[in-house]
Amino acid sequence: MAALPRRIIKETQRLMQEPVPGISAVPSETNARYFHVIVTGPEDSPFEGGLFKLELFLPEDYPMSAPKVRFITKIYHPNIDRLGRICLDILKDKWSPALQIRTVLLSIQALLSAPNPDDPLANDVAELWKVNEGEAIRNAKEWTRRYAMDN
Amino acid sequence: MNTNVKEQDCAVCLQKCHHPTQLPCGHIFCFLCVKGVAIQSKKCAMCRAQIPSDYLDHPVLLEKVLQQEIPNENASEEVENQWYYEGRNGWWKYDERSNAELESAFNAGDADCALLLAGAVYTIDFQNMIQFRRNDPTRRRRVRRDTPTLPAKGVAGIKNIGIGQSEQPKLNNEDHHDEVVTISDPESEVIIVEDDDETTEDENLNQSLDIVHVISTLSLVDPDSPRTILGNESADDT
Repeated sequence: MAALPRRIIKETQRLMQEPVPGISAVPSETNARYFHVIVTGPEDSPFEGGLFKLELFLPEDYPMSAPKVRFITKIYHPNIDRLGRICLDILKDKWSPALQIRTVLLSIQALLSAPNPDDPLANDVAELWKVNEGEAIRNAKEWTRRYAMDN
Repeated sequence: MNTNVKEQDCAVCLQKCHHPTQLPCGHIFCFLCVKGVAIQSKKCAMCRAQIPSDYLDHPVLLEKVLQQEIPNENASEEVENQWYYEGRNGWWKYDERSNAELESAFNAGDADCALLLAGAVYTIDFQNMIQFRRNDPTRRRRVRRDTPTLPAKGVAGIKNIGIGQSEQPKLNNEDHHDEVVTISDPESEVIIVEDDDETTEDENLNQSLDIVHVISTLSLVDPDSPRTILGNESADDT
């Protein structure tokens, strides 16, 4: 297997030395391009108090292409579907090689604080978020309690 | 100003800016990192400003490149061997970072070495002494390991021309100030960047075709595609 590019080594070291508050990303022991991620639900969001597991993979041509990131923990969010796939522009057409694992995970955390039902991935969730935000938020809180709190 | 540039890390490779190259928007990256983004996203990695399609014909390098400097620039150990790749008109040196990686892989007895060069992954096969593109093995060139003093066209696509030599860039532009790279150090040499792509079966294959090729290959690994999502498809972890 190819040696790990310097950039990935550097990012990994920095993630360990200066971790981002509320985010942990640990490389797999068997594959240094695969990270086990935990994001804490942001305060004042329906996800507060939850610990959300994600997986993050750096493709071969990273950083020219974006990391692949997916929620493993079930989450009720208009921009995250039931397979955990995330609708976030910087993971797609707005990716830039100057972004990093750290900035990607911060953006995902920010997405939890600011759901965007106008650009939905989970259509049923987005629909409810638009027509009855209160109920959608109750659902999100319930899912957080059910899936993201009992570890 | 230039000392500043030298100490700044390139935002693409997160290493010291290597052959610092400035985009029209003002942002500075390594030459090879600029080459990668200019071919792939065509946008500045910092501000997303469009990179002109002809930018690589006359990039703005901020430092002179002296062939003599190259072997010594590498930090810790003396470079005793230099790796070269074959272009259409001669041998080119790998940049010193790639050279160091090739050396360590070669000395470790590895069969090959993978390098991320200008945004594409290349395999250097030590048995056959060839380099090929991971996603298109028909795009290949010969490589060699030799003394650093071998006559070379330049380093990693940056052609080296001494003062007083009259060679001009191949792709002339009407606009004179665009055609030759400007360098902040008035005593420095003129640097010309040549696109010297891999040899293919079709020698006439032009650059734009090559870029189309890269794009079409990239679309096969579309990150949006649901199938490319990571291994474990079960969304629940109880």
